[in-house]
Amino acid sequence: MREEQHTKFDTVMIIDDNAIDLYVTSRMILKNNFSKKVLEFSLAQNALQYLQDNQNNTALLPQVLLVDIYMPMMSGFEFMEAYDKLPDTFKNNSKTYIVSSSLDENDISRAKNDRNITAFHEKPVNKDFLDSIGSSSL
Amino acid sequence: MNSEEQFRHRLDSLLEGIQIIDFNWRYVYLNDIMTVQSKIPKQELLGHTMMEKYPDIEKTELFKVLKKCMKDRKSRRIENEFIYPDKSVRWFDLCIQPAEEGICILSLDITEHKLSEEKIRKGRDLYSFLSQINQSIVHFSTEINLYKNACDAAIEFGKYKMAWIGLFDSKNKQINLVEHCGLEEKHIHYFTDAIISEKSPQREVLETGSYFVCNDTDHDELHGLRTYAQELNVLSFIVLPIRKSGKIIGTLNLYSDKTYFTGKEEILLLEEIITDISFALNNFEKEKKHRETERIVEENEKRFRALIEKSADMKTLATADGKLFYGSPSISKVLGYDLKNMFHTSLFELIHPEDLNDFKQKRAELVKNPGQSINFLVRMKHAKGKWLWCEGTATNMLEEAGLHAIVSNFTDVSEKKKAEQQVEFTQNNTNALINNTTDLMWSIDKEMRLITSNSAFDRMVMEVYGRAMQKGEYILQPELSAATAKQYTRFYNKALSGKAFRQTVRLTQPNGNWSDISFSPISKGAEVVGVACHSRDITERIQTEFALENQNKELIKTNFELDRFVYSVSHDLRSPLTSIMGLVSFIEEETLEPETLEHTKMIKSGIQRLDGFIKNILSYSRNNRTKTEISKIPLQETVNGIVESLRHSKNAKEVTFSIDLDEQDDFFSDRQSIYTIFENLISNAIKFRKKENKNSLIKINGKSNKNFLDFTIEDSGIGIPAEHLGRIFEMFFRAEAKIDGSGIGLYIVKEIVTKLHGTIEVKSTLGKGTKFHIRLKNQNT
Repeated sequence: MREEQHTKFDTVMIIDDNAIDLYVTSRMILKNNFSKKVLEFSLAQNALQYLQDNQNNTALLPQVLLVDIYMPMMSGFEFMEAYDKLPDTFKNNSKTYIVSSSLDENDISRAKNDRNITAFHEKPVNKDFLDSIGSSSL
Repeated sequence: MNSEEQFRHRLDSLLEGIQIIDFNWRYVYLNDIMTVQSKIPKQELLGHTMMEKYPDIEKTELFKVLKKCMKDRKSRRIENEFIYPDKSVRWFDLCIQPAEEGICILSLDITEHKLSEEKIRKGRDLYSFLSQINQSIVHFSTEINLYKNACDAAIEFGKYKMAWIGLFDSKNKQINLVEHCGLEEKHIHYFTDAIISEKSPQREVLETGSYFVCNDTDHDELHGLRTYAQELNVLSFIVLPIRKSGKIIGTLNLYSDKTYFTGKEEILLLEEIITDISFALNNFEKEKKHRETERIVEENEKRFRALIEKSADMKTLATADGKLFYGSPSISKVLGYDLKNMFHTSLFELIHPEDLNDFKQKRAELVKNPGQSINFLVRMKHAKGKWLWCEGTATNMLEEAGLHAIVSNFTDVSEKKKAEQQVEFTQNNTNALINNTTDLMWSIDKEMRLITSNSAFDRMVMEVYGRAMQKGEYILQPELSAATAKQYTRFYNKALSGKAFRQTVRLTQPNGNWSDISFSPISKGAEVVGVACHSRDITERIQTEFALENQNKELIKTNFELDRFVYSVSHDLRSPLTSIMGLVSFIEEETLEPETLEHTKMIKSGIQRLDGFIKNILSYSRNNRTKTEISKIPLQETVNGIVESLRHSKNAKEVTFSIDLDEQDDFFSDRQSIYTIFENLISNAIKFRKKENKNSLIKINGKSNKNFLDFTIEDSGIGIPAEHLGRIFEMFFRAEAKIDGSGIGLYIVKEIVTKLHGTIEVKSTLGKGTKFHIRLKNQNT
């Protein structure tokens, strides 16, 4: 059975307003045994609320976050600004990736300069990308 | 009287003062004279010490001498100046001797002696002053040298503290400093063009014709001058009149820092000095007049000689009806006729037909009026046929006994006339030039009065002032707005200070037009006497500039918006593509149907093509919009990075790379641009390899020096047909239909290379391979 197999992470959070992308990414993760659980959010503020509500409950928090940039209400970068205010204990135990189809240099360099962002990845999320995310730091 | 009493009496009646001081510096004995000398009663001194009575005595030279005598018991003699509490001064000759009780001081009042000595010395000084003046009268030939010497001598030999000479203005209202010695720079302005007030020393001298002396500026009546005296630290002074040809023209002023410095004898000497100076001045004046007369005589003589020598006056005598019967020799010289042949011909035959009627009329009038004269200017015929302008006078002497003629005197003025015509022509020409323009030209003098202007300026004046402006009129009239007048005042003043400059101004009058005005100082020798101004209406140019600027801003904005648009469109186009790509990869992995697999492969290829195209459009847009940012390019790292990322694509697995990069000098350029060029060329080399060849080789060579980077990429691929070689850099041109591509890659490469001041060349043989050579400028500065 699948559930019995070893996965790299316990929980991954995906924030993307595009339902197809949410589906594709989530499925890609589960299929490749990247994570046991996937938290899907199509609104960044809901994702943020979740993190704030559970900031003391390590078991519910994700180890990897995949964040889209262009979303209604709250953009990926706005989310990152709020994310910065979360406790270090959580931030130190998780990795955040910006996943976008944007090729805008400004977006790429902004992602590079954010200390909480591990890397910028051009969509789509594929196996090669998931393989490149190691669990060594955990 | 016992002997001691007698002795005391004798001591008391001596002329010398005697005081005996004990070893504790107490007054033990004082005689009567001593009381006179010290001006203190005996009783107040006796039994008291010197220090009690004269608290500062221990600091004096005198006390040192007294102390020495106390100690070594040897007698001494000194002269001592004694200043009383009332500041009066007397001199004493002191003889100090050791005595039984301590010391005995004999004092003799030598003040009178001292004063006469002083007087003699001063007299000597003044004599040297006088002799100095006399010498300068002999040696110097100009007034100013004499004045200078007099002032210097007054200080050096006359021992005055300050000396100055001032001259009165023509109305005797002011006095102005011409020479001085000993005056401080900061005080000089007191003496320049100073108003002579009532009862002032200068006025006194002018009115009395004699000297004015003040012996004590602290106490004498000075009519408001005391503050000056105090500031200059003058305690006494004398003002002496200087005369020229009997008239007082100025004063010699001598200031001393001592009271009563100038006594009666000194005044007599100073008056003598003044007489000498006046004598010298008269001599100068006489000499000057003499020289002037000589010059005038000489000049007159020259002028007269010139007149006689150069005279070419012609004279004729003619009858009332114009028959010539005498002509002076100069006629044949100037007009070229043989005199004999000329006589008995008519005068009128000589005159130009155009001038004849006028002349005849005037002459007919003259004939009727004996004794009258007329002036004429006519053209006369030279023997050789040319016309000469002749100007002269004709006088009716028909009734004069022995003459009975119209007498004419005239000269050839052709040259003068020609010159005049030339001047007039030039003038007209210039006028035509400066008036035949819409540019305004005008000039003003130092007082900002109009000197001259062209008609364009006159028209503007008409428009603004509603009337014409006369020459000599002040240029800034009340019709101008305060702001305009202020602006122009500043410009004119700047130009009058000698600066030539141009100014672009927006004139509010007569309209809101822009003008480019140049101001040039007009110089006469070293002096600026006016300003020449030239104004050109540049409204059209300014408006064009404004329009351009606005257009530019508009374009920048449009460009920015376009940029945003491109990014946003590319994002929105790529988003669904990536979603599709993800979905397709699931289908691909989850099916075993061969046809489905074939279809997913085709879908993926289509998606990749579309994605590549979007990326290319984006990179083209980026290249066009973004500014280049020059930085050091690590060639090795860059090329290796690109090769590494391309090597992993499935296509490149059978390709071998040979990379040889020689970085002699660090290469500087725009990193993003270089990356795009290299990536396009290398990926092309991979894409257009021969599929059947399992050992494709791509050679990459680069060499950078301080001027250039030479970069070549050579492949052993399919090559480009010769007929297409010329078009490969065109947008959307594709030479090979079988291989995927949008046809924009090389177009972008070419665009970027051009932008980086470089060149790109291509050599290709169909079926053998292609070689691109790029040369880029090293932007290391």
